[in-house]
Amino acid sequence: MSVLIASPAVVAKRIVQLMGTADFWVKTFYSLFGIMKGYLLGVLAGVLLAVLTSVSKALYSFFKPMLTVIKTTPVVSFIILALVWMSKTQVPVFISFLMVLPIIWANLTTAVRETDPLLLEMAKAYGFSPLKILHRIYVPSVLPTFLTALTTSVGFAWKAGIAAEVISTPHNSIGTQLYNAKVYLETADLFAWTVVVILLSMLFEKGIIFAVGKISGKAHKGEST
Amino acid sequence: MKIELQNVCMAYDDKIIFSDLTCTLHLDGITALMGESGGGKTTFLRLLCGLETPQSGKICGMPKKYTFMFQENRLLPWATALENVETVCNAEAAADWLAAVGLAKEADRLPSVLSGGMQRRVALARALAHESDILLLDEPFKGLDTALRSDMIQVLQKQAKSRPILLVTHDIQEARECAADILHLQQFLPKA
Repeated sequence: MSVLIASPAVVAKRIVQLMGTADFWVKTFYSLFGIMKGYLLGVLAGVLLAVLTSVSKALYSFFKPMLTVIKTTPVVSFIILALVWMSKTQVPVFISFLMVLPIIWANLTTAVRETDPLLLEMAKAYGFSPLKILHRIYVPSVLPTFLTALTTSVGFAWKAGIAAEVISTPHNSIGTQLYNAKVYLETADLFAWTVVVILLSMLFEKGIIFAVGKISGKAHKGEST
Repeated sequence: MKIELQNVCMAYDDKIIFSDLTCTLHLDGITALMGESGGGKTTFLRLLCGLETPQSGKICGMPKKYTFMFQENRLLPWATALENVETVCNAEAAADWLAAVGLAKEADRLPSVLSGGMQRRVALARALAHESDILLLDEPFKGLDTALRSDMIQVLQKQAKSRPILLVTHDIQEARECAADILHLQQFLPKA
């Protein structure tokens, strides 16, 4: 029975055991940094692309089908392709990046397009500079959508990043531990590492919300002084 | 200040607003523009400041630096009353203008927690704080009670000493109370 499912008590005990080993922390931080790297690169690229495609209709028409394809293609196809293109240590980073990019881009692009035209006309009538329009209207207008996109994409980055680790099995990663647990039928380990991934994803999401809150608060203070 | 409109034609899709509008406005102090609802008063102001481009005809004499107070308040919902006024001037001037419209105590409040009349006065403070050669105000006293309206008229009358004001209103009493000159849009339109 313990091969099929592990009781919460057993899983909790196993997590405590794992946390007492240096190996656990090495693997945890390895996966955490890899996925965080892919996530941050995806956010950065998504923002840049959203700015470019909001300014240029031609770029929007060029990138939209590509990003739609990325969004709809099964993640496993990308993982296998990425294994052909790059080293297995880079695959989880690349896959996290690829999952985050279209979410950030699509949400930001929609938010920019839905910015209140009455406020934009007011800005025009009062002669706001392009920088002031960006700072006073676009940024506060898209911020709630951006925050939602940031938190939504955290889950996708973790799910896809860990899946990439399971398939590419880079040394010292959580994904490799999940793969080994499956191969050796160590169900308690499988559950324990899964709980660790869920907790890390939740902590990461809280961290993102906290950081964005701080940044937007600071930006608002700076604007009003 | 003299502004001329020559054979101006303006239509939104199928709806013709002005078919051949020709007139000369002599603006000095406060001028009230009146007319029927949906008769094109707002479009008239929007044409003057270039927010609408006429299909044909031309407008001469309109200064490049203008202030347009919209029929809607169009306040930034994420910015306080003071920050909204500050978008067009420095902090000190913004605080002075808020005080002038009786909202010094509401400076740090967001538009969402202000009443409709307060929001209108923030929009008015922003318009007054904006440096320009002419003020175009679309129903500036909308939502204000009689006492507040009288106070705001006094503020405008002081302002009208330094730049002309053209305001749109539906209320003849209001027009008589504040304006030296009252124009009726109908008088400029060709008789059918």
